[in-house]
Amino acid sequence: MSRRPLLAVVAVLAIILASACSGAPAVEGTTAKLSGEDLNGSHHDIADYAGEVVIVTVWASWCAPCRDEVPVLTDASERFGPEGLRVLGINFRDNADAARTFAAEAGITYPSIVDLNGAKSIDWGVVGIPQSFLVNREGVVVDRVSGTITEEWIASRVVEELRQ
Amino acid sequence: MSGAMRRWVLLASAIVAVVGLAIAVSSQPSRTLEQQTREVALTIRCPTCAGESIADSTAPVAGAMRLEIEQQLTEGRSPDEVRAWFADRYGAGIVLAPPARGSAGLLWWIPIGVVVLALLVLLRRRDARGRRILLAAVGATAATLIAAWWVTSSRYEPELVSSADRAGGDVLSTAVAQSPGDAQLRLAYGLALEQDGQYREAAEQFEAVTRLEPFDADARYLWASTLVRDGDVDAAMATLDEGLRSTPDHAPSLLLQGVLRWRAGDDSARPLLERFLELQPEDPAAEDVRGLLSGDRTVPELPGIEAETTR
Repeated sequence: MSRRPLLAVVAVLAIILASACSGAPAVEGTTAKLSGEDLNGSHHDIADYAGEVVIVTVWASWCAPCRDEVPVLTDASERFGPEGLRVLGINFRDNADAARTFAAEAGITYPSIVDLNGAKSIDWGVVGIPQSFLVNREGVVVDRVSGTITEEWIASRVVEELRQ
Repeated sequence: MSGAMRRWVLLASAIVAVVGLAIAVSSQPSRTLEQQTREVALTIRCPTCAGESIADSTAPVAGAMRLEIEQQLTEGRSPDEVRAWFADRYGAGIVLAPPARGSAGLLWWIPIGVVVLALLVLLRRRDARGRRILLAAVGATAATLIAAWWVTSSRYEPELVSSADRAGGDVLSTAVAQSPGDAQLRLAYGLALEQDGQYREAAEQFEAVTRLEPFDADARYLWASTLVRDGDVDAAMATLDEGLRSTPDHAPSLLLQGVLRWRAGDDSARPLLERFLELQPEDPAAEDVRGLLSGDRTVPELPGIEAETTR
């Protein structure tokens, strides 16, 4: 075997191995799937929001930073709702009473699907909370924010998706 | 070495390799669901911790991931399928030991393919050097298989059962070390430490339980009360504050925080104690609390802080 084909094989193998070892989150680019009952017992399915831009935000009453992002999210929901923005929460591994109290105190107006054992959040590839995802009008996950959502992210990524 | 002897050596090596593989496969001890879950969890990286698997992490997300593994194993998925599921959602980097399927499975199959290819090339070469290399390769394979059998058969020994004669705390300590993500084990270990007067160590266990089960108000209360016993009243009050934010009507926390704040001269103690009385009017401590609020009683004595007269 001459060396040139051997080198080519080694190069291809290296590329395949590198892609297999990639640690990049794999949820982005996939179709968003999320359904279940919210804290008040109403059923929600993200598929019902087809054609709208959705922020999916994962929170819990025991997560202090989660409280900080509520005003940003509610403000965005009010300002950009007419343009097709929706916010859907995932309440991660929480006590229902504590979550309802937290939602009332913090002023959460958007529905939050109960995720008692965390399975829904893990299905979304959540690595910690708060964590939020941006779903475009085609229902595809296009971005994620680890940590508290900022006005800057709303003004850049969310508005960009809304006006595409 | 004559040609016939070499063939015998080769044959013997091959037999050792096959027998080693058979033993390795057949001697896997039957595992409980909990052990299988832990085995898979040990191969999944904790996404929020540095250099730690989810088996050993107390992060809430790691707890949810362990539940997901258990659920999928219960549904009949194989460990490789579970790992592949996580790799699909978190990227292949989440798997500490790559699954043998999907794109990450190439990490297993490519080296095996390379070895097989090399052996075929060597077999085609009929010179003595090629045969020596082949002999060495077969021997190394046999040694590897025997080593693998030794390692796998020595894992998950029933240490807990065999150590029944050891002290309860030691058994729990070992159990917690083996399953650090098990909240119930940590709770039991914390209570044992508390009974033994090891308040600082007990508080660490209750703190871990609180991280594993953030909405468990009882565990948070235990953590705070143990901190009080250890003399760290400020940390206890901060812990109770956090717990009462998420579970404002947890009566034991209201009572403890009310008493601690009363002692500290904090006016916010009164509404806490009044709320406690609303929730638990028949509680054995209720009479003392009423007396405290009316000015007839002293602050109940608590371990870790000295008694004081009424304000």
